[in-house]
Amino acid sequence: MKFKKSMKRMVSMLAVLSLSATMFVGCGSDTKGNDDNSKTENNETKKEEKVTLKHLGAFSEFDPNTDPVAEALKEKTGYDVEYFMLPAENAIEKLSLEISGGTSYDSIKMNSPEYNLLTAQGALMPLDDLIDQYGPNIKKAIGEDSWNAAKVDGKIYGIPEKNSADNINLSIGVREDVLAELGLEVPKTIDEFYNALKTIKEETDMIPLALSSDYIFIPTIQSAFGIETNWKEIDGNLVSKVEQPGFKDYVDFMVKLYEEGLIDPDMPVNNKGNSMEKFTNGTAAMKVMAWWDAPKAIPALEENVPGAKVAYIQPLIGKDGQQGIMKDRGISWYTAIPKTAKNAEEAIKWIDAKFAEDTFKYFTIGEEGVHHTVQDGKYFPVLPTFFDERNRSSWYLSGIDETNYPIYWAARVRKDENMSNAYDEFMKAQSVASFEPLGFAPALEDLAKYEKSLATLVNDSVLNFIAGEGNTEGFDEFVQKWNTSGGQASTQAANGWYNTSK
Amino acid sequence: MKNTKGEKIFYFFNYIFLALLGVTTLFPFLNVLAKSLSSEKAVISGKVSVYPIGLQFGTYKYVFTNDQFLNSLKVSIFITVVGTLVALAITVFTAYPLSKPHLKGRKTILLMYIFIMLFSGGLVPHYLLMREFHLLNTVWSLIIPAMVSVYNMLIIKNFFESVPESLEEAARIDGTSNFGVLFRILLPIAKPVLATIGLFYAVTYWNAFFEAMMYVSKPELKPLQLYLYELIKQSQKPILDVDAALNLNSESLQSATIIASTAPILVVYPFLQKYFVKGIIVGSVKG
Repeated sequence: MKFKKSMKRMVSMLAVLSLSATMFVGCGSDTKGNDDNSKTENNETKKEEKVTLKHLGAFSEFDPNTDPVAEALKEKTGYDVEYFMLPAENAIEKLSLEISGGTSYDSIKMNSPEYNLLTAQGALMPLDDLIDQYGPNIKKAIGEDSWNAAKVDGKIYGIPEKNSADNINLSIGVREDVLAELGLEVPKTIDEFYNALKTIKEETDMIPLALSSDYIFIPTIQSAFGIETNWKEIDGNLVSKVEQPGFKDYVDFMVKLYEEGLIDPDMPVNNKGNSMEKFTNGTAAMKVMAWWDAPKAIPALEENVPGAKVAYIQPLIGKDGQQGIMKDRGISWYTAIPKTAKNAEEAIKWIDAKFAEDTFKYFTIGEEGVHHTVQDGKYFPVLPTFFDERNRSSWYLSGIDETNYPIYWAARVRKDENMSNAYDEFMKAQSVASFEPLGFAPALEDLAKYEKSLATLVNDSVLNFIAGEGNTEGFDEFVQKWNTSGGQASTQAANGWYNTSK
Repeated sequence: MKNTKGEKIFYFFNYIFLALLGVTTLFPFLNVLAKSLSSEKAVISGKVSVYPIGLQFGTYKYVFTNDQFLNSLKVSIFITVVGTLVALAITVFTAYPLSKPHLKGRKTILLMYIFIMLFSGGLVPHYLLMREFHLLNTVWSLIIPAMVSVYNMLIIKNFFESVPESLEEAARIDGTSNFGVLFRILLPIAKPVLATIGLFYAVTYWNAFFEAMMYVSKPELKPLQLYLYELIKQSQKPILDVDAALNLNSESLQSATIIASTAPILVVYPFLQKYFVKGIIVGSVKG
């Protein structure tokens, strides 16, 4: 009896022990298993002279290891690549952590602030020799301007990736049907624009211009005040938007609009979503729009307000005939190799293989007839194959073929009629568009240091002039504050680079 | 005692007021639910409040066939189930000896636990530790760091202390071993506490995203909450990259993802809730 009892006890104890033991063993062996696997993999691949590369990229909402593009790349380049991602938030902190912990990534794609930080820390490998030796395709595809942007003290630490195309991204969408009813045309000059807003306010009960507090610098309106880009060459020197002569006039104009009720009075508390609501449900007549807003906004508007028609305002012409807008061009990404990388050579060879002409075309827009069609030199997507299999190509880029990619890329815009229309309208302003002069500047420490805080200062102060003070009496004080809080240092840094690059 | 007329009126309005207050807390939830079932057109024109407009289930179909979502769901379920079991076991194994006054060095050990409850080494040392253990980019990096919560351990310890010593003595006279006492005497009485602490752990594991953000860079190892967090954060950020703009998710889809990832833990709650209050009080109040 007693024996039986103790047996039972023993059994249950053993059961519990073994259970907890398996838990520990479970986790122990699992991680070990992983290590062993990777070791044997390395050994095997060494024999075949191919390694599994580790690539870290920016956050995106998909799994790059299972995407069709990864397969296409593997097929064409022959490289096995394991892809990793930074988080959506605190990406730069995570990257610092990984770097200070001695990462084993073979290549990392990063944005400019991240590139600035890591080059300053000396965490990246200079690539000049590697590219000379193993990167003929890379050299061919990327232009001189872009390479200059990647140089730090004369050395290249990352392969620069230019923006996909020279896009004009913002305009003002206006209800053409409302204007027609009031006997107005789509405004071309700043006076016509003001007049249109005023008439809408007086004749209808609509909000003339829906706006949110994060979009108070409207390129279409700035155009009339001679402000196209954040920095502009005046008498041989780069001058920030804040100190450009038209800026105060622009702020004055916005103050006037707000005071007269021509801008949505809720502007200071609106976010992107609110102003979109007001435009799509027909309570607002105009809204600042990006061309990628069109595929959502236009169908919603058409459903709510049958017969609604939207036109896009071209950059407005100022009193002295000024007109201009910014082209979105510059370096948006860098692909770099950390000093701790194990397979730097192979990584460069892999990147070079991606730039080989047919490989590049194949993984970015696929095969003609299967993924896209060509008409008059323009590329059109085949739906849905194109977006099923090539939607995420841009994530895998390590720089672009600067002559061909903008042409290929346009296929992405042509997936939706509304988007395509908006895009074509926006791009009509090409003739008056100019590039941001600093778009190709290399990592300038002072600029990077103050960029964020200055942008906040400018946005907050101007918002306060428009919605708080109702006048620009404190404007000079604001410019002074801008200068002392890093504006002056930024101007010096910008010109330091500009004068040597000329 | 009867209420006076004044009191009756007061209670009447008071109840209405409190009921309204209760309803307002439900509003945001209903709003998300309604958005998830509405057409995208209705959502962007701001027509949806608490009931769906342009009813559709396409968003849910998309969410439940989305590989990323399903993968993250699997990771979350694994972490929650395994994590809770392991954490409960370890916490009980820690709490039981510490509840015995005759344990040598008990005070010192307890002080050490309380010390780490108040002070932490910080993120970088944690990260380096995980790296040295080769736990980065494994699912265990999401389970092991949260395995013993000192707070939970103290609740269980207090409970064990509150059990009359005579109960244990009786068992020992019958020849029960230490493990026997724990498994056959104490744990059966401790069920409410274990259910509560288990739920605490389950909720912690289910909601954890920070560890994953720091320790995991493999997309297939992301738990559900991190997937959700990033999905929403991404859409709120100012758009800097044209290619990102082209792939923005619609608001109905986001809402459907939120609902789909909140529902599982919401379903578990009611079943364990009754233990909640009981469990904590049983552990902490000593007669």
